[in-house]
Amino acid sequence: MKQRTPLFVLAGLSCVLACLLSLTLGAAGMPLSTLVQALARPDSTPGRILFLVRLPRTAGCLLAGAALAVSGCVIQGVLANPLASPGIIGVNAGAGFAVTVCCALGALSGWTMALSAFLGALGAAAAIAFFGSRTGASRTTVILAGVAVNAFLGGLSESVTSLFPDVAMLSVDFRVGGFGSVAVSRLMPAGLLILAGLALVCSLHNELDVMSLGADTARGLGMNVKGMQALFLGLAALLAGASVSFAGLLGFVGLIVPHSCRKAVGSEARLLLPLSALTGAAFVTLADLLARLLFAPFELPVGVLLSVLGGPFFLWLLLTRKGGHGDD
Amino acid sequence: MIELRNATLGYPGKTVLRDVTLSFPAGQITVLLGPNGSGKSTLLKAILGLSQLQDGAILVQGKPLEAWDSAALARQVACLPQSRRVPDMTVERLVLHGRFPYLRYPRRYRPQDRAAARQAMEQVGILEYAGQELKTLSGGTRQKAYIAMALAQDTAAVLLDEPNAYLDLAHQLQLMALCRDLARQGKAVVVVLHDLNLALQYADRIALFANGTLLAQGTGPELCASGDLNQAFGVEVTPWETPQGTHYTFRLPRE
Repeated sequence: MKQRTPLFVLAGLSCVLACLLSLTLGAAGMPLSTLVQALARPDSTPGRILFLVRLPRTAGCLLAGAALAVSGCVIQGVLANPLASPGIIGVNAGAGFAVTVCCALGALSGWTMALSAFLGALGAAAAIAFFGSRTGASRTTVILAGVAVNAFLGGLSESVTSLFPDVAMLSVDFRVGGFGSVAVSRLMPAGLLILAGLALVCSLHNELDVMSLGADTARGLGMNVKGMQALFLGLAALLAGASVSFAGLLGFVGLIVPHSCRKAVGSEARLLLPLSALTGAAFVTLADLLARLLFAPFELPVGVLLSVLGGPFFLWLLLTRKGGHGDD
Repeated sequence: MIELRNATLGYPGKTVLRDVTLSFPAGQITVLLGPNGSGKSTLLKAILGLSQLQDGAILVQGKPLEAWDSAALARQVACLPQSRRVPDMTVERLVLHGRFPYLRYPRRYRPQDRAAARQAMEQVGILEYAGQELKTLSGGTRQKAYIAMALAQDTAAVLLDEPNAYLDLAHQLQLMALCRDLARQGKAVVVVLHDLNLALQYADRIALFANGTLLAQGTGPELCASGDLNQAFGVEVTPWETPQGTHYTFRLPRE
């Protein structure tokens, strides 16, 4: 048996450390003493920086990281496809298109954005699931279908952006993913949806494991496989969609984090899901910090950094697949 | 325990088996025999609702299949499907999932579930592998882990689709002895086999499938005497009485 507790402690401590660093470092340095002062006096300048900029940004990083990582675990489990993730099969692009339409229509409230993003993500997930089940598509075909869905929805979003060039939300920060403009009003509804989604997914860990045994075995164990698949894809879409609604099209978190965690604890969902949530939260927060500090005073959107890391990681996954399909 | 009445089975747009009337009684091993593609797996899948009942009826404990909800059915019938994944989990966890149909949301395995899983692993002889990852084990041990999962389900009927695939001879014999134990406990045991020799040696009853229908059913000696086995497999089967019981030899028919 692998020793798991230290891994969870390490992931938890990484989160705490990432939070502290994210709160204290940035354009205006804020040592711990100032941080304490800022907490006590929200009206002071450091207080404003903390409550209006740093806290929403850090909370956004933690929530988006956890949501995208867990969404990746769920999508990979349900589609039995290690190459799938919300970014790759077009779930993020679906949410992105919905947010773009909301912006163009001027429907900018946090709840409208979060729920529309969820519906957009759900649409893309349903399209991929329908395509996979109707054609009995192989894993590679599902990924190629994802490329098509991504291109299609990306094209639609670009069309809307071209027709409504003035909408502030449709910035580079949104298209590649970033936390430069996270506002509490947008974060709060999405955050509530993410926390509810995370709790529900983690409570269904046995269902996710049984589903990973294959549809025939799962049905033999009394599971309503189609219903459960739909529920899981809905939850994955909720998590990814809510995160896209404030963080934009962050790619590769749902791929890098679940795979790294799987190496550490295996695929049992009761361990994989919470570890991925913690690791995803720490990973995105640290990546955002790096993107802020690397070329200071200029700031990179964190999505750029994640793509630079994620692209080679995806290629590495393709190289190490060994052609295995996991079936006995 | 399970009964098919004039059942026609298949998949949307395709019929695989026609007009099958057959029962799987408690306390007996029924072996389903037949060439590849003769519909044996389709029949097992139909009992789980995974293939289509196009006509006739399937009764489980006297109640029509469609009247069972999937969890209640899974507490009556356990099935080891032909195609199985090798999940990234420990043997114990896999076997514990055999208790899945006994729990409701939020499913948390109880001490009695862990005890049932432990007993199933003991019965199959894999308790020593409980904490090991399935991926690190041989094909035979993985197979046993799946069989232990079906036993942990604690059902009145156990359906095994080609359980001997990937097993060496010793493991095949152990498995058939386990089937005999399960039948003695009063379970209806249904096994799809390709090995005619094992089938004739262990089956209480054999159902013989060919050309999309149930060709014949009966005990091994009956099917030998009637010539149905010869017809279905295109070989000559000869029974030999020995002090250890009846043994069989097979050869291609003479010109």
